[in-house]
Amino acid sequence: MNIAPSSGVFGRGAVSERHAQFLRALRLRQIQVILVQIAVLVVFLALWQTAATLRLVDPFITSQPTAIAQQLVELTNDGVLGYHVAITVIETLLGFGIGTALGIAIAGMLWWSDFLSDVTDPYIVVLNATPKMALGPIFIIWLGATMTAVIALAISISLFVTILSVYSAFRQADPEKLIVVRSFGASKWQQFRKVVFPSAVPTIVATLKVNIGLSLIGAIVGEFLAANAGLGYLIIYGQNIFNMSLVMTSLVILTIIAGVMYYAVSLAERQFVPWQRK
Amino acid sequence: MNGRDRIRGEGLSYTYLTRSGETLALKDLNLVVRDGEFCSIVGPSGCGKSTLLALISGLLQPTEGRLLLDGAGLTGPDGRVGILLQKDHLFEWRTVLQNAELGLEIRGRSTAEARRQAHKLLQSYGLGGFENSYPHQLSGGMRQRVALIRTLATDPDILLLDEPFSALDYQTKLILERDVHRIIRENKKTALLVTHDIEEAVSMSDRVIVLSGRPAQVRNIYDIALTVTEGRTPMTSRDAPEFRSYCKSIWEDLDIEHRTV
Repeated sequence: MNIAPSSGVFGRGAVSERHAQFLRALRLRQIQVILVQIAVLVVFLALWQTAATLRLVDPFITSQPTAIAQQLVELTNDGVLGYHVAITVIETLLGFGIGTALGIAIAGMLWWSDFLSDVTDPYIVVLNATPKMALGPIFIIWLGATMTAVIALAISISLFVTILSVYSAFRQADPEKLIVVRSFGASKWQQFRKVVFPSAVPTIVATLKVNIGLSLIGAIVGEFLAANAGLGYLIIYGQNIFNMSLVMTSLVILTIIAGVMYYAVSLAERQFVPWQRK
Repeated sequence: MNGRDRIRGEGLSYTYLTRSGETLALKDLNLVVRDGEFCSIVGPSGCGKSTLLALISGLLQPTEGRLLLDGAGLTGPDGRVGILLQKDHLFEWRTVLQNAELGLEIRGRSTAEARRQAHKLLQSYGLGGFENSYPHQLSGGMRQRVALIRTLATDPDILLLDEPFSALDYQTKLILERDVHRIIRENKKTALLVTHDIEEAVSMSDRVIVLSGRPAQVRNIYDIALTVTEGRTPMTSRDAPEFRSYCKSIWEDLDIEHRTV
């Protein structure tokens, strides 16, 4: 059981002098980790910049941090950065949301009907194994070189893996827990709602983390293939006019977006899986 | 005691069908449990005890024979029967209170009413103050107690106990046997306990039914009459002079001395 943190006497939640020392050591280590993390980044940027300035590498090919920073400022001042970021984020979130929701719904239907599951099994396995990027041209011919085609690609990339992993989690729901609710007279829908779905929540949250990354890949590749907006478009455009700073800048922003989205899903995890909170 | 029949099984048989063939789990089994009785079933492992409980709880239908509850047949899980399994099977994503409410919730009682009932039971069985804890914060004994409350909350007349103490350490087991016995007596429930533990069966029961190996058939029935000075509990039962001889007879029925595992 938890010991109530005494406030004041030893400070910062410590219950004794020894505990306070222990907590100080923990905090110190935490600070060290963060400092070294920052140092790694700073050293990397400094080496890059120095190498480019001293012409050890060709900045035309590798770009350089100052040029990227300058590019970033220009893009922001032109107001185009926000536009391209928004397009990519919208495509990713729609692909993620629809792909995940549809995947969970289909997994639920497969759990409901063993027959349906047996019938569709080979199709889902094959579709999952198919490289979804290869579907890109098909979506573009069907839906035009539009945002819809990009979103379709983003959906397709997360859909099948969601179906497979969530369906398998549904099936792994403890049979004895099902006996418990059945003994209370639970209907099939109640079995799903009370046992099967909650049991799968940790898997679903893990799937969300994977899917947000996959959807971003789908959106970027979709923009590579056919788009006139978004960070993927910006990268291809930079490549075509051989502006490495533009390519690198887009990449940096992309990395930040990916990080923020992943972090958001992790926050959601703590919200949805409170019983696993450490 | 010795009231009307609560559970009556007549010529019960059950066969499991799989791709590789069929397994006869029960064969022509007859069984009666009377109102207010605490009855135990002991038998060698894999003799079909759990199948029998599944039949009584309406989760399975007998292949042959009839199962009557209060004189009428059974077509599915029934509100008169509550089960308690070996593992507590608390839902780790629900708090203790939410776990205790589960049965009422499924049976469609209003949330407020279910909450009051579950809360009251938790209070009276020593779990007050743990309502908002999650199961992983509780000890094994406390968890099984919550599972019992979850079952009691729906107010069943008959409790089916499928080795509910076998996963607990010895001391916790004795304490929980005592508590469950008291709770069942106080609430005038009928209980059917399936167990491997002969001493547990004798110490808790009014009657012990000994089954033979698969397919299960009744080998012997004992009416347990123990001389105890003050109020019979599983603890005082163990001190009764007749206790050992009952255990020994059952021991012999099960042929433990000569059987191999």
